[in-house]
Amino acid sequence: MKKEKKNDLVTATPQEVKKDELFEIKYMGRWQLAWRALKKHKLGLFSLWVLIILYLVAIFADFLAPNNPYDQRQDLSYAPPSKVHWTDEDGKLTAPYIYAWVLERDPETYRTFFTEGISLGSVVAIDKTTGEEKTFEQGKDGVLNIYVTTRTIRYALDADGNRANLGGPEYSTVQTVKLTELDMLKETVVTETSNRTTLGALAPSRFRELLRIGPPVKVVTERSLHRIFAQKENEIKDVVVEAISIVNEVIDVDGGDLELAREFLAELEISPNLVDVIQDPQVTDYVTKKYPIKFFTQSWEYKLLGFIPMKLHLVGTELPSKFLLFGSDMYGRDVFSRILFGSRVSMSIGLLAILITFSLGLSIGGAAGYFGGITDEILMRVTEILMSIPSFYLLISLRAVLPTSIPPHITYILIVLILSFIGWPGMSRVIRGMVLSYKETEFVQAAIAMGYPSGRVILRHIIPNTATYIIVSATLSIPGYILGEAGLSFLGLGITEPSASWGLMLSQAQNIKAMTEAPWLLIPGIFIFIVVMAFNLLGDALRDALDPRSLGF
Amino acid sequence: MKKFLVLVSVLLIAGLALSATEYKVENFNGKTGGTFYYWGLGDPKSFNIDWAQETSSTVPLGFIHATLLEADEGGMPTESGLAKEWWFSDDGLTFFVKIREGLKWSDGAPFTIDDVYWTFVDVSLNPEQTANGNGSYMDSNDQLPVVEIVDSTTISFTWTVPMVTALRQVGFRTIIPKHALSEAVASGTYAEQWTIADVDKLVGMGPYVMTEYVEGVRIAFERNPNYWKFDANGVQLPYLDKLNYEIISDQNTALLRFEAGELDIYGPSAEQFPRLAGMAAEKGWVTGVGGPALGSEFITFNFNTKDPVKNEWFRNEYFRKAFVYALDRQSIIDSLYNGLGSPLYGPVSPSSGFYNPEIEKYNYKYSITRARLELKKGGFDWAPDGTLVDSKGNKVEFELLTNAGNRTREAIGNIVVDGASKLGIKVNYTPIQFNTVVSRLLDATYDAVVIGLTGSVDPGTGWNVYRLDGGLHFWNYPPFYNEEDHITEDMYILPDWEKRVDEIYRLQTSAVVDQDRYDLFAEFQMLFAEYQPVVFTMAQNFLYVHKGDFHLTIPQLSPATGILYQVEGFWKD
Amino acid sequence: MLKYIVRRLILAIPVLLGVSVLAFLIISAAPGDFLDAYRMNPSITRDQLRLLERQFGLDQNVFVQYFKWLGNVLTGNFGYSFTYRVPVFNLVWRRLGATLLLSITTMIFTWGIAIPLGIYSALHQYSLSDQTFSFLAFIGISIPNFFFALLWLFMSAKTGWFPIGGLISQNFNDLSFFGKIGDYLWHVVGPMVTLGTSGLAGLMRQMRGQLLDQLRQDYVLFARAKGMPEKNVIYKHAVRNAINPIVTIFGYALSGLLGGAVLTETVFGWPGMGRLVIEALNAQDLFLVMATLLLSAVLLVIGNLLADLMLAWVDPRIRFRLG
Repeated sequence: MKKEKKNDLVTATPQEVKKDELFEIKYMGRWQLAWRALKKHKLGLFSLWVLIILYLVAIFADFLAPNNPYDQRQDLSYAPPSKVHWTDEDGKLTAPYIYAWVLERDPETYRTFFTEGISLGSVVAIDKTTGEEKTFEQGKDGVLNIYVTTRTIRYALDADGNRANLGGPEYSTVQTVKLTELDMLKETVVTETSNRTTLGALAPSRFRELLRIGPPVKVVTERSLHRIFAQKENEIKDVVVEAISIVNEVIDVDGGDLELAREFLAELEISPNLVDVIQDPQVTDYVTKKYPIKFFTQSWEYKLLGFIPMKLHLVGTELPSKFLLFGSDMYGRDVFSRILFGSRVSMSIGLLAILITFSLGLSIGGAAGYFGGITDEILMRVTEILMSIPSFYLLISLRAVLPTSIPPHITYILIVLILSFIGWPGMSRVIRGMVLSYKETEFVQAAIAMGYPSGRVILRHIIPNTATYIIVSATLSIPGYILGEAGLSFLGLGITEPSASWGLMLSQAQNIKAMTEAPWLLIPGIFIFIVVMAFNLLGDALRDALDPRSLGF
Repeated sequence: MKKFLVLVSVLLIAGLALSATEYKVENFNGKTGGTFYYWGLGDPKSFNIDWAQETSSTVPLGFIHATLLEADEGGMPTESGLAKEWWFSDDGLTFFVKIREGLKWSDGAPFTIDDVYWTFVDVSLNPEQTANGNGSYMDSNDQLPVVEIVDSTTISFTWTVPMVTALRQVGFRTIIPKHALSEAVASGTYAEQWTIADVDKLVGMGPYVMTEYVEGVRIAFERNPNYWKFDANGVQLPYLDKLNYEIISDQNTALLRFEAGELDIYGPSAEQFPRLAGMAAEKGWVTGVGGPALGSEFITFNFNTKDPVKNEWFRNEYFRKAFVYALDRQSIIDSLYNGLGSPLYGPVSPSSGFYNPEIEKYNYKYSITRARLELKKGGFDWAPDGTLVDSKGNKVEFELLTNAGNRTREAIGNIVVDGASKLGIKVNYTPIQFNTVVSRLLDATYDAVVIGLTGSVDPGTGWNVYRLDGGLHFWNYPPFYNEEDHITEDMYILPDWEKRVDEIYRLQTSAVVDQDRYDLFAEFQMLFAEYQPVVFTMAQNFLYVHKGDFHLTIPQLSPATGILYQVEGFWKD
Repeated sequence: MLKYIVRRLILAIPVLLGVSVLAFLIISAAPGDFLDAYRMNPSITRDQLRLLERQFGLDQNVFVQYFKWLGNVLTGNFGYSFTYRVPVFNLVWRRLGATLLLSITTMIFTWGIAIPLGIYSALHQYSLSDQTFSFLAFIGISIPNFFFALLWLFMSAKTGWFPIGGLISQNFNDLSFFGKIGDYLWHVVGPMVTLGTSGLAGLMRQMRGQLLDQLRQDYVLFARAKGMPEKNVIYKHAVRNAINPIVTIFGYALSGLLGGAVLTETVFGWPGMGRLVIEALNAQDLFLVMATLLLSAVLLVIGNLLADLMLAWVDPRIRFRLG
């Protein structure tokens, strides 16, 4: 019973052809038939679609990527994937939106973590120094962004409530306020800790101050709103933050006023009107700003298909938030966007390299096996020599003769050539072994006897019989090429930073920290796996489809 | 009765011998017994101290060898080791060392002044016998010292000018046994002696002796029965009977093995530290954060490229200063070092006693605005599209190299590119294989390189970098340096401050008064901070974690002490 | 047949010469040399570097260096390692045991699983088990060895089932004879599985594909029609015909026995040849590189010869041609 089923599977196809199919078999060409056979192969077809989609993704990577893959944001180093919210504060369903990540560091273990935060869309506050009420609203009166400066004081308390100052106050300028600290806009936020390690860490640094009080029992942190700034001219963020800190310094340290600060800014060649300020603010009203995930938005520039300049992107959010579908890497770059861009290299390199490797391997292996004798000896000894030379040194020497900064497209061609050059000798030996065997089969001998030229015999009669081997080893060598390219970049020959490829991204994520604390860095591995699966399943289907026996000849 | 007499006489002789032997007594108070589990990255390459280069060889050798002087907590040679006393002659030209009497090598042979004399005269000062050469023993007249045995316990070194680094060069030199090696040295086969196959032949004065080396697995040590240090209670050191030096070839594996309790002490990277610190309370580990490391990573610009336009930029101090400002060091420290690092603006680490806090008056910090101002001062301007152009209208674009595989340097490179782009400068950044970087550096055929050098608490050890004729003076090699390269008299420009740095490095070796030497290095740091010939970046803090039942000799380790400070005093509950 | 073998061995001589010339030239063409690490050492002077260059013979012309080396090799002296200062084959010898232990167990593991699984998958094409095996194999081939090794060590540390890398335990010297053997085997599992998983997929899929090809051939149909027992049809005929490319692959798998695997060895702390060779390559330790290169070339020649002999053994048609 079992045996019969097996027979069905592997040999019975020609006999069981239905009548309407018989027509097709008779009147369709070889390729049409192959396509028909392929269509029947559900998994194979599915894989084909997956691959087509991935190639489209590679082509339109810049349109699909929500962020510029080279854009570094140190404050988002190792940030986890953005949390997408579907409901607003009242629990009602809304358009999806995200908050911005705010980096925090545990003062004892130095571990970083991220909490959600938002920036101000508009704020109304009374300037307590002048008494006038001021309104900053994004998009109005030239206000581009709103920043706040916060003030933090820490002090220790003993059991009787005696107080020892722990330095400070510290000021920090942020565009994003933590959700948990939104109260700070209206009043001073006080947090207390009696954590033993915190208390233990006090002693050496604040010795003198702490001597005045009894043994400290808790540490109190007070955070309050110090100043509100509006950015009014276009400038990079680093300069805006610097301008704000200069204004703060002039007012707090030098005891000056805004006018003096403006003179200072002008001296440093920063536009004096870059920022406007509410000193000592008493916030009466504010509107926070969420970051809805927008479709078809305008952001960074690129060239579609390499020549159409565009700014349109499929999805995106506004600064300072960054929509991170797959989190970010060490430099705060969007992993998802990098995967999309990396697919350009990774999805094509293997295919091209395989094409070259296999044409070389097939022709040399084929010739060696077919002609035998002295040809075989010479070709095989040469492959042995080539297989023995360490490719490592070959690459270093190559690297040495090439200029250091090679244009990207040349680098790319080089990688393909190098990878295929390393691969072909092994391939040609296997082909040779198979050709040796097929050369002696009756059908080949018959072809030779009929006087066909050698090229034709090899190509039409022998090589098709090695199709299975070729397809299997081609589809299986794909991951080798994708990962191998990363090895080349180590020698300065492959795709190097800041460009991206899956292999490179994965090779940079291979440490305990990535595994335990930033597992999203390993996502390129999943993509490699999907591609390998798809190519292999497609290969299976192709082999079945190309097999003359299953075509019904 | 006879037995009793024998016993008495043995005791007497032993007592006599003991009194004649000048042991060193350390102020330790530990318990004896147990095994110390330590580790190292990679296999040793040689057990020959004069030919070993890598730390994977020199660290394990440190356990079996001893030196005349030992380092204090600041890393300076002020503690006595095999030497009991040491002093300079009044004219400062001669350095005397008096060794302890009655000590024995680990194989039982007596340790004498001949061993010391032979170590210096036959090996250390003879460039044929040691890979490191004798350059560091030369005084500012390029003369080697004359070594003489004064009496049976005293040796002298005489230079033509006062030589302060004698303390370090003579004091920290490993003394090797004449009786075991003199034949090999005489016959010129010393380099092939004491290889990794010769574990059983090694003889030393250190706290441990090597008993076994299993390739790729471990080096096993046992206590040296003849060790010459005792603790306050008269117990012979070291406390720990055995030392297992595990050879691990990957940082991640080492971390996992420490976590599993297979190692006693571990120096984590800044990236690993938070993980360990988070587990410390539960596991009872002790964590420590010392000051910034002594080595440094920096960006060097080549003053003598083959392109005269680029040379103009790189020789322009404002151009270099723009990079001092444009480099967001704190970002790198935050992302790469988890906040466990310090920015550096000069050649000497703040952990060194020679650090000059005066350089902080330049108030360097991250500031794109100030970077732009510096560029303006240097005659640069911006084209309408935002790219930086020099006074002749050339677009500023250059190539930056670093060695691939070094995460810190790659990160610095990435951030330089980012900072430069904010200034309108295009930097073509290529991480590349190490040997290629070295070749380009030494041929002066690079534009800019991110590289690092190992450091020491004493800036004097960096003379090969800062002196004009130094082999590593790569930012401005003089034309006479290498006849084959492209640097000619015509293109070469020697700024005054660089000349002064060279002078300082020649003067410092003969500055016998400590304060004079400190002042010289203070001036050197000010010159570097002002002109920034190379742009220093930052240093990771010194980090360590050890088990709770494992005890060190001092409460806090630092980059100057290193992890293995006074290893003979480590003990376990 | 003996004549054939002798002829091949004689032909190996120009191959080895070719390898040595090419390798020597390429290594010398690479930037820098062994002394680069010394050059970056702030305490070594230029005079000292010149002295060292002379001592290591690096100041001479490439051709002079090559012929000197070749002359020594012909007298059986393969030179000293620059780094270790011991004769190069001593170093190779010290690593031989661990290397062979790992490569042989890996080979048994890979081939022992891949071939039966491949045959099974072919006989049950598109069944659930076939799909599962293929799926697992693809996972294996998609995970970089380095990462797999790290994951393995991480799990070992968590569970304590396997050691965290290394060749032997800390208490190895106290173990009984059988305890020692067990200890070796316990340690080899991790690197073996790591290396095995990446090689498994290829072999298994090749075996499966080739056998499927053969099962579709007319002679199989004929044999079955004739009523030959299924076992005989498959194992005596189909498998034997399907194995051709597998045999060639086996040939150069043999040549890799002493090659080692750098990344896996590094993570597991396995003292194999892979690390020795890569360190020598990185340090440009000329004679050590040359010796290991020649060794692998010799193994390659032998492996290929064996593969050809095996091909002839499984396939009478080839026997006829090579004879």
